[in-house]
Amino acid sequence: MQGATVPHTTHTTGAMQANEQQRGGFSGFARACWTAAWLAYRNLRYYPSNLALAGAQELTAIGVWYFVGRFLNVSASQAVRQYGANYLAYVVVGVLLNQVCLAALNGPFTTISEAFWEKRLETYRLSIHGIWANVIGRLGWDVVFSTVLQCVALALLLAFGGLSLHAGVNVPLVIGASLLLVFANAGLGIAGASLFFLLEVKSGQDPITWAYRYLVMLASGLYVPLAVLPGWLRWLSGILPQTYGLAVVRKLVLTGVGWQSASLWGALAPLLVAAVFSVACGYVLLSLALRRAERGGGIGVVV
Amino acid sequence: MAVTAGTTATSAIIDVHGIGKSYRQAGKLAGRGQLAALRNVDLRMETGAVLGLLGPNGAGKTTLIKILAGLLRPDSGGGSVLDYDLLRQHRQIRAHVGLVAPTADVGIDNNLTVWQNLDFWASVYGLHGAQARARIAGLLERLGLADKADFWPMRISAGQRQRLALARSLLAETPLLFLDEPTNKLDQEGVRSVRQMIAELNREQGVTILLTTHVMEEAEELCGEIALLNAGELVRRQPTGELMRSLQLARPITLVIGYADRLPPHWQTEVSALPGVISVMLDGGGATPEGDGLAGDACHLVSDATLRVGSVDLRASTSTLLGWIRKHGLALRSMRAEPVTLTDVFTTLAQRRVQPAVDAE
Repeated sequence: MQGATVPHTTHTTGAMQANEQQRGGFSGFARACWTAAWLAYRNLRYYPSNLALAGAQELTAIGVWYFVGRFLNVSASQAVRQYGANYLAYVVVGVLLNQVCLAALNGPFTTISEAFWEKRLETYRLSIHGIWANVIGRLGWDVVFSTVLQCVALALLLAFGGLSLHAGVNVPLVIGASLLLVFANAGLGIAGASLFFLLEVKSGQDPITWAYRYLVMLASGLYVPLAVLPGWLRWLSGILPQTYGLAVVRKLVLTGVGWQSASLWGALAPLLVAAVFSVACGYVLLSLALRRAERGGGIGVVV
Repeated sequence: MAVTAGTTATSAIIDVHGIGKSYRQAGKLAGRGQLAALRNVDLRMETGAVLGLLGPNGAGKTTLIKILAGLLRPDSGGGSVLDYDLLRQHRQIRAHVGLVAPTADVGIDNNLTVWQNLDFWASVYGLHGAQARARIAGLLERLGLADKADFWPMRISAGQRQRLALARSLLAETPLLFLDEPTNKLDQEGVRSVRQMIAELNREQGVTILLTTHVMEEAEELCGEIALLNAGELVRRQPTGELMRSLQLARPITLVIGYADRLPPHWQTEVSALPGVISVMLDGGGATPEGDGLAGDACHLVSDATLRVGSVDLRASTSTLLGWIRKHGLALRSMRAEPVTLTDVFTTLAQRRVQPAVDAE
C-alpha cells in the first residue's frame, strides 16, 4: 500500500480551486442539504395531486384518532390523570407528534432507495458532500413538511374540534423535547437505511424501522397509557425513545409543567441519551454500510 | 500478462499499480464464488492526455473506471489519482473527478426540466447564482440543447438525454474526466458534437480524459494512446498510430474507378508499392453507360472497375492512391474506407496468441 501523499495543485484548474473554497465546509454542506430538500419539494409540486394526497393522508390519520379520542374521552380520561385527565388531548397530541417522528424514521431509507433506483446515488457520491447531504436535506424536508401539516391539523382542532391545551405551555421546551424525539427517530431511520447495503434490502421496508414503528404503536403509550400494559410490555416500552418523548411533550402541553419539574427530567434525560445514542448509531452504521458497498460494488445500479 | 505504460514523465495524474478486484458471485447455476473483474492492472496517465480504454463487454472497463473515480475499493493494489491516495483518500478523489455513465438516465430527474436538472446538480457541485446560470447556458449551447432547456427529459431523444448527462458531468469543471462510452445511443450529429467537445475540453482546458468505447474509429480520433483490456487484464497499451501499425490490421478501401482500360500493365505492382498497402484486388471492368442511359443519350461506353485495397495506414494509402489515379488519367467514381472494429483488433491479437480468444460482441 502506498502512503498517503499530500495533494498539490499540479492537476487542478483555476476554476476548480476557486470552487473548492466555496464548496467545502459547513456552508457548502448546508447548501447541498438545501438543494436536496428543494428537489424533494419540487418533485412533490410537480404532481399537485400527490401534494394534496400527502396532506389528506396526514389529516386522515389525525382525524381517525380524533374521533376515537372523542368517543373514549369520558371513559378513558381518568386513566390519563397525570396528563390532565383529557384522553382526547392525550391521544391527539401523541399522534401529531408521532406523525412527525414517522417522517424522520422512514425518510432516510426512502431517500437511499429512491436515489439508488433512479440511478442518482453514485452521482451524489461523486459530489463533495456525497450521499449524506442528500439524506440530511431530504430528511429535513420530510420533517418540516410533516410538521407544517401537523400544525395545520392542530390549529383546526383547537379552533373547531373542541381540543384544548394548557394555557401556560413552555413553547421553547416543547420544541426542544420534540426535536430530541425527532433526532432519535432520525438516527434510527438512518440506521435502518444502512440495511439497504448491509442486508441488501433493496426495496420494501427495512427491518429496523418496521419493527420500531409497530413497537411504538404497541408499547410507547401512543394510544393507551402505559399503566394498562402487562409487565413484560412495559419493560419493552422502557427502551423506546417515543415513550419518553411523548411523556415529556404531553406533560408540557397538557399540564403546563415547567423545566424545573422532576418528573419532566425523569423522562427528558433518557430521551436525550436515546437521541445521542441513535444518531451516533445511525452515523456509524450508514458510514460502515457505504464503505462496505464500495468494496462490493453496491452503490450504483450499473456495475 | 499485465502491460505497463512504461513512461517516465513526472506529471502522472493517474498512477496505480497491481489493481485487482473480484465480485462475489451467487447463483443456483453458477454456484458461489469470486468473479475476477480486474487482475493486477497497472495504469499510468499523464496530465492532459486522452487515453482510450477498449475491451469487450465484461472486460472490466467500468470496474476500473469506478475504482479510479473512488467509487469502488480495489481488493489489491494501490497508487494515486490526482495525487490523492487511492485507498485512503477516495472521498477527495470522488469530489475532484467527473464521470459519465454509459446509460443516459443516470442522474437525471424526470420531474425537472433540462435546465432545472442542471441547476440542481450545479448546486450539488457548489455552483450558485450567476456563475451556475452562465455555466449551464454555455454547456447547453455547446451540446446543442439550448432549445431544449425547458423540456422535460422524457420529451427529448435518448441522444439528447445522453448529452444532458454529459453536461451534468461537465458542470463541476474537474481536471480529470472519465467517459464511459459517451457517444452511446447518439446519432451521427450527436456523435460529432460530443467528440468535438471532448477534443476541445482536452485541447483548450487541459482536461485529462479516460475514455471507454467500443468504436475503434472514436478511439483513433480522440485518443493519443489506447489501452486494451480483456478479461480483467491490461493486455496492450500503445500510442494509437503505433498500435494500429503494429497490429497490421488491413483496412479495406474500396475504389470504383472509371476508364479502367487505361490501367497500366503493371498496375498491381505499382499499387502494392504504395505506403501502407498490403493487398490489392480488381473486380469487374465491365462496360456501363455514361449519363442516365435513357434513349437518345449519347452512349459513351467506358470501363468501370472496383479496386479493393487492404491498407494498414489509411491516411498514407488514400493520399498516394488518389495521386496514382490522377497520374494515370483514371476517374474516381467513389471511394469508401471501412473502419477497423474492436472485434478486428481482438481477433488479430488472439490470432497472434497474445491472449486467449475473446468472444465477439
